Amino acid sequence: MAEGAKTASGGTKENISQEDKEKASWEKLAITMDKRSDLAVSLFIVLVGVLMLIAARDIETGLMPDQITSRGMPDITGLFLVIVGVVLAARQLLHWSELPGHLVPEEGQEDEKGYPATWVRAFGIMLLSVLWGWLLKPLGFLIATPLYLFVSSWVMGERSWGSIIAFSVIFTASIWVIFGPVLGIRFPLGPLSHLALSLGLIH
Amino acid sequence: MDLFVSGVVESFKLCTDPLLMLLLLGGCIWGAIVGALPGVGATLGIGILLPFTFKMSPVYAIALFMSINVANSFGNSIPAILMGVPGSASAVLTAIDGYALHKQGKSGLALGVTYFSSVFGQFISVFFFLAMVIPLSGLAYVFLAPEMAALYFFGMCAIISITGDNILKGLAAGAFGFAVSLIGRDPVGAVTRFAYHPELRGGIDPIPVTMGLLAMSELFRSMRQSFRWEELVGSFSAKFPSVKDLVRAMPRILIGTGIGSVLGAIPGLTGTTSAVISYQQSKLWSKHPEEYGHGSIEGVAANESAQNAAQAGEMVPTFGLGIPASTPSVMILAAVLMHGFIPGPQMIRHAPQLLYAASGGMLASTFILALIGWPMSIYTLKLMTLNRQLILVGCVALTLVGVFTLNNSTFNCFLLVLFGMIGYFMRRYGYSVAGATIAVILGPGLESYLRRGLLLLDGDWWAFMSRPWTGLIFALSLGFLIYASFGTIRLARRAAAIRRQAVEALRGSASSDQRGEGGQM
Repeated sequence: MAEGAKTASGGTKENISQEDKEKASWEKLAITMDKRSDLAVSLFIVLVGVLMLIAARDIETGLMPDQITSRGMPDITGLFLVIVGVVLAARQLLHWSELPGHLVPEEGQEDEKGYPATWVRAFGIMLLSVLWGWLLKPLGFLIATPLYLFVSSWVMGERSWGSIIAFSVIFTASIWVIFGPVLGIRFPLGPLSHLALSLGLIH
Repeated sequence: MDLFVSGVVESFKLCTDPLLMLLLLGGCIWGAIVGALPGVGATLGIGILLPFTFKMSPVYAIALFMSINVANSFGNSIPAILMGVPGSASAVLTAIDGYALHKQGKSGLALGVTYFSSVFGQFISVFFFLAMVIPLSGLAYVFLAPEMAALYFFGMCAIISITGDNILKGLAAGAFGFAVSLIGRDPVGAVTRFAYHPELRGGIDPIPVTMGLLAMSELFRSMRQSFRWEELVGSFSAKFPSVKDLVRAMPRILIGTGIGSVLGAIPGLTGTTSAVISYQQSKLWSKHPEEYGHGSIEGVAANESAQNAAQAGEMVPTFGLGIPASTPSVMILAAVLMHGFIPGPQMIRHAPQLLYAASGGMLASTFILALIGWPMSIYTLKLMTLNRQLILVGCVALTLVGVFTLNNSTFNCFLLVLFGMIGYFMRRYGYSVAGATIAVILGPGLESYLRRGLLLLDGDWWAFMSRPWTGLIFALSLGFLIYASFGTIRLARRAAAIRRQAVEALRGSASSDQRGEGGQM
């Protein structure tokens, strides 16, 4: 759809429904992949390859090198990544202007049809997972884990406080019991370790 | 023959271990649940439990993973029949015919035939598995370093070829996984490479990488959307089919079992392919081909028996050659590695208990499914009322906790999330996470055998490549890559056709806009 027609539409009912029809037909054709992101991933592959080739220069070959040496596989792999990354980027750039907008035919896993998708939710959980790992030892398992579950559930769209709290507490307690007494694995307790020691829960 | 007989005997012996049977009961229930929940699947099901098995005996661990795999193949058909939503790709055809039967009020017939076909297909395929995998272990005496290098290379090419449409992206993924495997100590010279952090000096632990790429990435991807499974659920009643209906389906079940057992053993031909081929040939020979696609019992039976028999078939190259034939078997191979075994033809010779664990696990799981499969078909649907959002959060938390317990290391948790993030992008843009994972697992072995092989042959590449088995396996690898290239060409043509359709659609709408404006003026 030409940009002029879109901006000049003035929001009439006929134009809006045409716009929706075109969007729906593009989704039906699975034109849902962002070409900018796909290009960025290809360039990232090239970058990884280049960094490998640079870093491989520091690798010692050893006192009795074989024909390939310790540097051989890093060199071959780095070069391969650069070549493949360049080819993938070039492939995307060759067809860059064929379709308006930033969407191209889908090549990855599609989302479930009919439900809105957002990368914010996925990245939110990734960030929270990193925070959990970072806070596990300072705060201890019994504090960090329910906090993580609570915030993650909220990020995922659950708004029933009762469900979130019950889930966080029961899940944490279950894992503690299964890994602790049953499998004999100890989790860090952080500031609760003194309390646990005094209560005889740990030795 | 002796090994086959001892394999059968040991497999049945394992079924008499009460503790193992209890563990496998849990595994079957878990496997059916992950199979029934859309978007979850065996890979995630095995991945989540993988760290829990670290302190278990390898026999129990492998048997547990087999039970998850077996039950998953059965579980994925339940939502296929009752909701028209297959739990995984291999149940797509069951979703067509099974759901049609459900809409006709014949839910019990569809579920019953599925249950019977699954149990039968699984049971017979275990013997096929033993018969096919044991001869492969003889290769241990013939395969030296050059042959092993070729085999590992073949394993990577096979999984890259089958798990993605775009071979270029698949190769990029494989190369990325191989690059990750290079971190740490060189397997021949013990030189440290890319170890910019003290924790990397010994190399990257493949378990958090595997779980990140395969399990965590799928969880992160699923978390993009928030909806309830119960929106897809309706009510139904089910009566177990009559003996006459089961007898009618029997020829299809027998043929489907044979197809699944044999084709599943070929890397590249997974349960999905076996199921499709079985369905197609069943339709070809059917007296009522018009029923297919509209509620054919024969179609359901052919699909289910083949996809379940293929589970055992996939274990043939996995245990016999150390080459995974599907994504769940990549996870199983990671588990084998975690327990200190080296995949390859020599594995069964040096550790036959793993073979017994695999066959015994499959056999025992089949017995358990025979007992609890029918009630599970009816009650698994109640899982759809669970809160999907909380289930996903719980799975992520369980995976994080499990990886932490491997070495009490938060560094592994960071690796898990990092590779989960990388895997998320790989899935979104069509890069093969299974290809990357298998390259991480097999990469060190490939480099080691390649360099040692050349050392043995005084650096003579021609002598290396012209060894009969080595040359043949490398030629097969090339064949797989060429085959996958055709798929890439088809993908490129399809993309070009889609772009043409989109451009025509735009031209059509632009000219109708102009006609509209002309009319208004």
